[in-house]
Amino acid sequence: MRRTTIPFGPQHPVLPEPLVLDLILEDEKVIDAIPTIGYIHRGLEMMVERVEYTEMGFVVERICGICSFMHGMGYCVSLESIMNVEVPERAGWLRLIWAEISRIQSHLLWLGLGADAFGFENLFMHCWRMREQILDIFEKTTGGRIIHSVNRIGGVKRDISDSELAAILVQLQELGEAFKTTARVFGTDPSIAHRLGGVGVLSMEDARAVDAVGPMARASGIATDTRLIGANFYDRIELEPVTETAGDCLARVVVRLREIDQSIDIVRQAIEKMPKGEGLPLENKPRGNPNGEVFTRLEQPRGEVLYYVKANGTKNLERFRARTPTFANIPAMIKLVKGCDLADVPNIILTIDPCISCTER
Amino acid sequence: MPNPLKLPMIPRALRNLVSKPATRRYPFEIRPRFAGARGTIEFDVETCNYCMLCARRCPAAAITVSREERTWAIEQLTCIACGVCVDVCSKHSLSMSVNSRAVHLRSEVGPQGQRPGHEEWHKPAPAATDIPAVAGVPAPAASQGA
Amino acid sequence: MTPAVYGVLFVFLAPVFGGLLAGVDRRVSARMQGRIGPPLLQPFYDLGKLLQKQARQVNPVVEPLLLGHVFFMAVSGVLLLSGTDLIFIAFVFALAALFLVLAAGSVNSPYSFAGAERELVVLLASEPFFILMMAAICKVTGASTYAGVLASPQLVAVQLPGVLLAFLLVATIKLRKSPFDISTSHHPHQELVSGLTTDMSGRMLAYVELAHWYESALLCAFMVLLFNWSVPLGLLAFAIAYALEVLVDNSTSRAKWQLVLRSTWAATLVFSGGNVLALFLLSR
Repeated sequence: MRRTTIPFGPQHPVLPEPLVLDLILEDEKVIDAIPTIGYIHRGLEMMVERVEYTEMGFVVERICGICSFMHGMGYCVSLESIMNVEVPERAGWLRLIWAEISRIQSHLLWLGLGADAFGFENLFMHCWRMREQILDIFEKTTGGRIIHSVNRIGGVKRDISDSELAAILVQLQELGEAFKTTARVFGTDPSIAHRLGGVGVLSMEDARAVDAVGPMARASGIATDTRLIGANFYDRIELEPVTETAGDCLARVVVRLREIDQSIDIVRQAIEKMPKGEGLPLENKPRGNPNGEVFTRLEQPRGEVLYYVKANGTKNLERFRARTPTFANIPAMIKLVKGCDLADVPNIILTIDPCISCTER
Repeated sequence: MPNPLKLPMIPRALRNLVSKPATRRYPFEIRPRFAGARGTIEFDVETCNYCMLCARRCPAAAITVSREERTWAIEQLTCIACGVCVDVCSKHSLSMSVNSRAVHLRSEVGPQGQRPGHEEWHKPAPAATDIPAVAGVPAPAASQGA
Repeated sequence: MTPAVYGVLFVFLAPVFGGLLAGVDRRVSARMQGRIGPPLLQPFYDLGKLLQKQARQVNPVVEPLLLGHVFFMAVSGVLLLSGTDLIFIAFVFALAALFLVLAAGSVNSPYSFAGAERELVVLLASEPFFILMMAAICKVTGASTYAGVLASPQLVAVQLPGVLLAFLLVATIKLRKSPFDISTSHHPHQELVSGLTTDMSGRMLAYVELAHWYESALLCAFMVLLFNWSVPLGLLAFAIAYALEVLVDNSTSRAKWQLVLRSTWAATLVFSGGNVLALFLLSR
C-alpha cells in the first residue's frame, strides 16, 4: 500500500500553534507520527540574563496566553521561597482564587476548541461565550483580560473588595449552572460520542509509563494533582482530584467539564476562608537580591508545571527554567496518534490541550 | 449506544434563534472598558523630575528619558502595560488610562523612519530664578510622531 | 415560454438564488449560535472580493478543471429545465462533481489530495442514489423530462417517501452540511485545513463557490421534481428541508467518512431501494 506523509502543522487550523507532526499514513490510518518542535522558540529563559529579577515576572507571564496567571504566580512563588518572603494571607488567597478562575477560563477555551475540532461550531460558540464572561471578571479585577500582571514577588498588586468577591462568586455559580446544559451536550450528543468515545484510549499503565500529567492522567484513572501537595494555601481547601477511568478522548473532555465545577467550588471555599476586610497587607516587599536555587511545582489547567530558578546574589538570575505540562504530555500524544484514523488525529492532539508556546518558551 | 436521533443541541439552537444575540455590532457598538483596566500610559510632563526610574524599571524598555535634553518618550507599541512605571514614579507623573492603545497602519512609518506610537515630551529647563510653572500657562504640546 | 428559455434563465438566476440561500443560511446559522451574523448579501460581497484578488495557480490545469466544474453544474441545470432525459441529468451532475475532484487531486497539497479522495468517497455514496431517484421518478410518473414530471397528476413524494427521506440525507452531503461535510466546509476545516479547496484562492475559489450556488439551485429543482404538483409547493418543501439541514448542521459534529459512506448507502438501499421494490411489487 502506498504511504502518504501528511505534515500536520506547523500551520494547521486545529492548532493555531506551530507543532509539526509528520503523519505517515496508510490509507487513512496513521502508522507513525514524528513530532518536531522549536518553531517559536523565543529565548524567554535566556532573558533572565538581561531583565532584572523584579521585572522578569512580566516576561514569564508571557510564556503562555492562557495560563499566564499561573506562570506569573509560579515565578513569584519560586523567588519568594529563595528569598524567604512570606506572602500575606489575603494575597495568597487572592492568588488561589485567580488561579482557579484562570483554570475555568482555560478549560472553557479548550472545550470550545475541542468542539470546533470535531466540527461542532455551535458548541464552540457556547463555550467561548461563557469564557468571555470569565475574561470580563479578569478585566475587572486585574485590569487585563489575558495578561494580568498582578503577581509581585511577595504578594499581589491589586485587591478585590469583599463585596466584589461575593458578586464574582454569585456570577461564577450562575455561569456554572447555565453551563450545565452545554455540559450535557458534551455528555449526551450521539455525534460527539461517535467522534470521541473509544478514540485514543490511554490505559492507566500506559499513562504511568509515558508520565502523563494533569487531566490527561486523571482521565486514565490516575489520581494525580499537584494541588494536593498543599502549597499556596491549597492545604486549606477540600479537594478531591477528578478522575475518569475510560482514558479515551471523551473521558478527557468529561474530566475538564467536571473540573470547571470543582474550580467554582474551590473559589467558594477560598472566599469563605480568606481573611475579610479592607486595607489588609497584600505585599511583603523582598529585600536585597536572591541567592540560591529552588524547584517549584504548580498544577496548571493542563497539568503539572515545574520551575527551576537559580539565583546568584545579583540583580539578574543565573538560570530560569520551566517545564510545561504540554511538553510532559507529548509522549502520550505520540503514543495515542499511532494507529488511529486521520480523522481522529485532531481530536487526540487536542485532548492533551497542547500549548506549544508554553512548550518552547 | 445513544439514540442517534436525539440531538441535545437542537432545543438550544432553536432557543437562540428567537432570543437576543450575545454578540455586539462591534465597530458601531463598543463596550466601555472596566474601571481599572490597563490600557495605555499617560504622562504629565509638568511634574516629571527626570529621575529615570521608570525607564530603568520598564521590562519592555519602552521608555527613554534624557535628563540633559529634558525629554521623556514612550513607544506605545512596545509598552506592555504592566504598570511598573506607574508604581515606581515618585512624582505621580505617570498614570494608567483605560483606553486601549491606538491602532496604527504600516503607512504611518514615514520616510524619515517616523515610528507610529512614539510619543515624546519636552520641558524646557526652568529659568535661573527657578520660578515654578505658573498655573494657566499651557503646557508644551506633546509632539506626536516626531 | 419554451423550455429553452427556462434553461437560459437558469444560467443567470440560479447563482442569485444560490447566493441568497447562502446568505440566509449564514444569517440563520449565526442566530442559532447566538451571534448576529453577516449581512444577507455577504456571499455576493465575498464572491466579488474573491474575483478581485490575485489568483495563485498551483498548476495550469486547476483553472480549466474548475471552469469545467462550473460549466457542467450550469449545464446540468440547463439540460434539466430544457427537457433532457432525467437519467442523463444524473450523469452530467456526477460529471460536474468529478471535475472538482480532479482539480483538487491535481495539486500537490496532501490536504487537498485527501479532500479529493473524500469527495470521491462522497460521490460514490451519493451518485448511485441520484440515478436510482431519477429512475424511480420516471417510473412513477411515466415521464422522462422535467416538464413531463411536472405535468404528471401523481404526486411523486407520496409514491416515493423512502426516496424523499434518502434525498434529505444525500442533500446534507451535497450542501456540505454537518454531520456529512467531510470533504470541505465553509468553516475552516480542522482535519484537512480546507480539504478540497486548500490550494485554491482568489478566482479559483470563486468558481467553486459559484458552482456550489448552481448546485443548491439544482437540488432545489430536484426537490420540485419530488413535489411535482406545483413549483411553489416544491420550493416550500425545499425551504423546509433546508431549514432542517441548517438546524442539524448546528446541532451535530462532523461524522467520520466511514459513517457517511455506510449511512448513505444504507439509506439508498433500504429507503429508496425498498421504496422502489415495494412500488414494483404493488404495481404487479
